[in-house]
Amino acid sequence: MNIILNTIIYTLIYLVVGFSCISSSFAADIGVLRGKIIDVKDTPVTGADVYIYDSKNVKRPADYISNKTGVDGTYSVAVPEGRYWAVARQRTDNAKFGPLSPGDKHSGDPEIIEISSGQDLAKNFIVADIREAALLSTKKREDYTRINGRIIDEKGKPVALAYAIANSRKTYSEIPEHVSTWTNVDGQFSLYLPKGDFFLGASKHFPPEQDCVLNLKVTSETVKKNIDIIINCSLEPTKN
Amino acid sequence: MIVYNSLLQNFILKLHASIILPFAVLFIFIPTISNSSVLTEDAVWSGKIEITEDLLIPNGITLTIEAGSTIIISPADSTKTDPEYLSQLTEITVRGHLEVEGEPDKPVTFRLSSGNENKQWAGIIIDEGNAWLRAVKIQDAEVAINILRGWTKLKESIISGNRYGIVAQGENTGIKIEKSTISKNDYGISILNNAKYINQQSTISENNKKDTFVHIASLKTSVPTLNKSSDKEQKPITRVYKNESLLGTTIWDGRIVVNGVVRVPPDSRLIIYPGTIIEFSKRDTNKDNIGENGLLLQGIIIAKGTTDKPIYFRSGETVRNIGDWDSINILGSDGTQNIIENCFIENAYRGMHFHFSNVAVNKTVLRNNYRGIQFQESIVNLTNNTFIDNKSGIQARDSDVTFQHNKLINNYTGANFFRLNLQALNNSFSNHSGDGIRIREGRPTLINNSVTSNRFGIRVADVVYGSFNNNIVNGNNETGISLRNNDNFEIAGNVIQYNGINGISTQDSRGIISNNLISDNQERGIGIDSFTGIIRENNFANNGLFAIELEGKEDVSAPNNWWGYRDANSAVFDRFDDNIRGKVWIDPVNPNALPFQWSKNIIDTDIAWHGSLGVSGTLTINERTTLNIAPGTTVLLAKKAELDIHGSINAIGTPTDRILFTLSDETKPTSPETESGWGEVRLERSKGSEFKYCDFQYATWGIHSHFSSLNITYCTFTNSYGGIRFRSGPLNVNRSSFERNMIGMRSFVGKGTITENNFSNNEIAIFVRAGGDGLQINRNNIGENLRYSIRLGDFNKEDVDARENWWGTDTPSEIIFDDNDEPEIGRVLIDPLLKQPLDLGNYSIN
Repeated sequence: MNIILNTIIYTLIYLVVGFSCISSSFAADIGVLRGKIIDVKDTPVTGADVYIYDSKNVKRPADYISNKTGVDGTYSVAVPEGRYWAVARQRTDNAKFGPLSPGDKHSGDPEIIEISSGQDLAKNFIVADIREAALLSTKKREDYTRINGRIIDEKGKPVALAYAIANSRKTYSEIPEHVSTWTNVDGQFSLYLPKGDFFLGASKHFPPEQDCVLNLKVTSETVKKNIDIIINCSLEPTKN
Repeated sequence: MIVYNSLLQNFILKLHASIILPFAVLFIFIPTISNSSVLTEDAVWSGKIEITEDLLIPNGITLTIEAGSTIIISPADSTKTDPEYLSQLTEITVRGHLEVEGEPDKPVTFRLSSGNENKQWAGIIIDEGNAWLRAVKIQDAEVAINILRGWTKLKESIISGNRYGIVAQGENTGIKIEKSTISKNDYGISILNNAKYINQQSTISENNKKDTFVHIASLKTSVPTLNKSSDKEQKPITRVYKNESLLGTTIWDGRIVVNGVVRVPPDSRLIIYPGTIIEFSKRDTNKDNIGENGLLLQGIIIAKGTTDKPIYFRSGETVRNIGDWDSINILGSDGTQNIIENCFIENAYRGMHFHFSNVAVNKTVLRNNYRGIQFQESIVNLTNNTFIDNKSGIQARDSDVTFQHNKLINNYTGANFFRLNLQALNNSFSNHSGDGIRIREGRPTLINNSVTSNRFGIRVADVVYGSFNNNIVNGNNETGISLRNNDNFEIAGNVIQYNGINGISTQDSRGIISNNLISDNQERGIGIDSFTGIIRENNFANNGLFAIELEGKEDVSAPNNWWGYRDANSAVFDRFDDNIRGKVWIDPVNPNALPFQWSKNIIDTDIAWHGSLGVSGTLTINERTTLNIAPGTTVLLAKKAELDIHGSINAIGTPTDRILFTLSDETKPTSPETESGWGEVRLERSKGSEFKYCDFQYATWGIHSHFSSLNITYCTFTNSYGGIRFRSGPLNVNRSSFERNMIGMRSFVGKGTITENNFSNNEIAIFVRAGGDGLQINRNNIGENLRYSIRLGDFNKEDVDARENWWGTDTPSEIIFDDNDEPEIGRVLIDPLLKQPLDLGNYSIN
């Protein structure tokens, strides 16, 4: 009896100590990846996850998934040391895998993460849908503003086959400083203007008539983006 | 620089052989490296030749390769493709003549360099040249011999280990294969679009996917009518430039000749007035047959032509050829927008070429250039342009691009987009020998485009954001949409039909494929190597082999689709058919077609309708285009919606699967008087159209035909203001029924035969406005209408043949309005009368 009891006791001790050793060694191989998931406007994103894959094939159920972010957008996930590919996704459904639906957001190409044992690695992700992703990598010159609008007649009707004019002075010698392309039936135009004040007008002829009056004064940095220019030059048709 | 081995050998042999022979052997077997891109004179190769970059044999030049030679090609180390070349892989392009003089015991081998087992080279491309190849072995190529235009003879050769063995395209292309073997390629030989092909004692077998593939892009894409009269636009010369810089604002008007490179430095402007002609003389100092004169702008260019007075940028040579001048180059002009409008840009190396610039190109024709437009790192707005007959239409990368209402047609490749923010709306890509549009990486949105009659429609790779909606991808020789290694994309609302192999092919991709009409593809609706997304709520119909064939081992989710006219399980090829494949999970199955809302308002490529189609507004079917409507289809037209047919329409149902044209609104008009239904199916100078087993209801006019040949049989016209109205013809209406309309049929100078039809409960069965002598109205049941069975109008002066009808009465004059009622409007001739109604069968009247 004593032998049996001793055996049981020693076995239990062995098991407890053994598991402790295993846990310690397991804990020693773990790293933590943590950070924030934000959108293109730097706002923390709620309800997003970070998906971790042990290969670059990310079109499958993930090997590890972080917690879902709260209002502060923070996440963390513990992974064994190693090399991983990570993407962040915000889904409108609760699925953990499968294709994203229109309107869902993700962080684009997978990020390669190298995490070592005991490391606490910080990594933020920006999630975006297709339009927002385009904005992230938009080519634009910061000192130029794009102005959109319409060319209309005195009755407010859009004028086709006209173009917008912008000049830093109210009059111009032969060719204004900036012109748009010919308008379509909606009368829409775009102008790219540097910083400063400009006088706007429109014409249906190129080169424009000298009596085209540039009536509308704007400051390019502060002008509202959609403006109407009332054409006051000759509306004689020109074929385009 | 090419080393002429043959000359060296001759020189060596002239010396005493016993002395120098060991050294000669050493020289002969050292491989010679060709770094040359363009051969500038005839050349003879022998021995071992290494090709490290693209090779061009231009027009007028012959490359001869002697027996026993080995041509070792290095794979391309980038995807950059200069405009005079056609592939992103290392290629040998023949615009002159290639003569390979192999012998059966000393063949000439073309292969990749060692250590490149998983790579490819492009192959030998015949582009307006010809090739006589005897005893060659070609391997490791994407297309061993790719004949775009020209002739090739292949004799006693082996084509093996390539993706495609031989591809020949177009009516101006031919190949004769004699005593050769084409085997162990993926595809053996593809003969596309009426290329000529002669096979004498050759073996084409054991190719992995297909031995022989013959396809004609049967869809007729309309070619835009362009001003071809640029040669007629001549003016006195205003100014001649050599190498010069233009400071300040320079205005060009009249005719400008450029005999050098004209530069516009930063802060300067070049303004070009409408009607100006700019001609570039050809200067070719390095003899690569590509002109070097052009424009180099770091300032601004405003070239603002008009339709009446376009601006021309063209070659100044007497005979204008492609590549006579360089380009309109714009570099670093990224502030104010550069504008090119209403221009013709032709005969250039690159029509336009810009980096780091802000450019708008509008209503411009780019034709007969090596490349229409090339740009990178730019903001670009391309609208209403035509790219035609260029080697490549557009190549672009790393830019923001708005691409709308452009036509790319008859180029070798259409558009090649790499890493763009791309908004592509309402464009047309057609008749390309390569890709209609190729996209790699980037953030593409394609909406309402038409991609038709290309060798490949759309090829998309490595995209992690993508949206492809409401496009028509039809009639491409091979695959409509090819997907490789993409994620998070949506393909929705597209029409994908009549493609030569698959509608969609997918490999290593994930996304959503939903709400598409995928039909009439020659083999598969969707061919799947691997796909981890969802395929749902699509209409599949009439694909040649299968709606979906799964080649890979992973399962695919495909719920809620309509599988057309066959059992869902038989429409899918998967593990049930071959147990090494994955399973396509198809449940639940939609027993009925899902409503498909038609979004484009112009159809310029043959289309098939299946299932249930919604139409709003006016939908125009262009000339030389056919709309085929399958049995059992329902066409739901909104109020005032109409089909405007300038091509032809075949709506041929069956007795059990009729075709229905009806109002989409839930609430139907209570009276045909109100004209509150849908509009009409209008045919304008349409030839060869037919309606059979169709039902028209709640229309203003069911069919309205002008100057069209038209057959209508077993159709019903009900609850409409009018059934059929027509002018001219010939119109044949037979075995049809007209009920509860205000007017059953109305003719204005019509030509037609109306026989064996039922007319009942119409206010007026037949109204003849004018020119009634062109009608034969015989053997119909035409009684029991509310006011008149036949009424002649005030403008009609002719007698109308209405003999042998049943009128439902012995005194039909009471239900006829003719010159008995009003003088000089003609007489309805009714004798003899039928005494009994005709038994014309049972119509399904809704």
